[in-house]
Amino acid sequence: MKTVQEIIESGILEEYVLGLLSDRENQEVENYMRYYPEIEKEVFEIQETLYQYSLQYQKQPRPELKNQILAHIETSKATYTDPKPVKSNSFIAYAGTLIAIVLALTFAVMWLNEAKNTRKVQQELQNLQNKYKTCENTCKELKKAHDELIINDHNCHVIAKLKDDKANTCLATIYWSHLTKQAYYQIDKMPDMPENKVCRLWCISNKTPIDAGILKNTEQGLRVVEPVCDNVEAFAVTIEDKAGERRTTPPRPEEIFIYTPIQKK
Amino acid sequence: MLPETEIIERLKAQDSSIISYLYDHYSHALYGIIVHIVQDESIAEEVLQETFLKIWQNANVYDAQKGRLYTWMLNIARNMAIDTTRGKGYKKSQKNQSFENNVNYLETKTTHHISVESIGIKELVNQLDISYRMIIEKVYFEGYTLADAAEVLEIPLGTLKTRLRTALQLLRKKV
Repeated sequence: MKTVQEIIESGILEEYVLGLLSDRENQEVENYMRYYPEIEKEVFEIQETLYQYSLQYQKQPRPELKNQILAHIETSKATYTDPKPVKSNSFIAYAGTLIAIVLALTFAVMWLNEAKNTRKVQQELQNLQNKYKTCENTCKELKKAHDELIINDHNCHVIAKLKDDKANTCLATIYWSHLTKQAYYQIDKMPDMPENKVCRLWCISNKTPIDAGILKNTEQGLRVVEPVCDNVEAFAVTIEDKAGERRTTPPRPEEIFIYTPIQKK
Repeated sequence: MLPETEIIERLKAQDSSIISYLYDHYSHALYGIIVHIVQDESIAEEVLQETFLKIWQNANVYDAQKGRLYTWMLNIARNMAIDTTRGKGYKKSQKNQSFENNVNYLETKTTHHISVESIGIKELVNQLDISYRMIIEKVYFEGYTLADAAEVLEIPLGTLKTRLRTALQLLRKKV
């Protein structure tokens, strides 16, 4: 996870102010600005610097231009044309026109209010979505930092590597942390399996297999091996038919895909 | 000067009197950079007119969390001017300019009507190394991407990025 100082020094804020970033990157900087006042201050200062820089070219336009521009804006404001004069002077025609105008104006006001509310709700929704994304990213980064802290700690060591000998790959690595007194696993590469099959992890304790849950392709980072059991002597992985999350029956021999005894230190 | 919050409030409420106020206080800054970019005063007048119209029409999309109002207005002016230089009509009119006009223009470009307060800024900017100023000019006023600017200035992209950041830091110290 980048620190505020690293973000400032990366040059991304200058590129943001200069309009050189993609929409996604702009969004990223705007999120930083929302949550880190130092970054917001930095962006404002860069903007101010470029404003001051551009002032070297300041030049007074000719005086007549002001009225011309104001008139141009006034003209653009006139969004409706005057209604044609009512030819008939009968009261009914006059009243009908008046009612039509009042109704049109009422609908216009209602529509404008509705549009305003919709914009407001859309804006709020967008803000919430941005906040959600930022939180999601922060969670991912925290999880990564947490995992690194555990793995890199000298109290943590690898106790088993669940190797898929056929494919010559490692399915998962199992760690033991003396600090947290917990076993963790990290999936390295899942084997190719048919749709109707799953991989299940087992802890073998006192020669009894204990279900430790299904291994999923989508799981990233360290996962705690549950349940906690004493005297684990080995780990096994079965490839079995899809059923429930938990299994109460012991694995059949033909289902056992990997069996790895714990590495003694 | 009116407080910025009041200006924004009145602008968003479409109070047309605030445009006159903004014109009085910022037209010289906006017009200056437009002229600097499009290099033609009659085109610059049109761009300034469209800039104020856009400020007026887009007041509701202005977000104070992303920057100060005047920097937002400056960006509108800058982008409109850069877009104009990329338009077909602009290129044609520039081609049709006589040699004499070009000479006159270049003279104008170097002898802008400089107000008292801008003299200080110009001196400060002139203290910046030309290689730094060239980068700001290409990227900020001519709308080059970093990669294009690096190619035109014949320096590696990484060097350009470092120089750009250094240039802005030096300017910040001076401003």
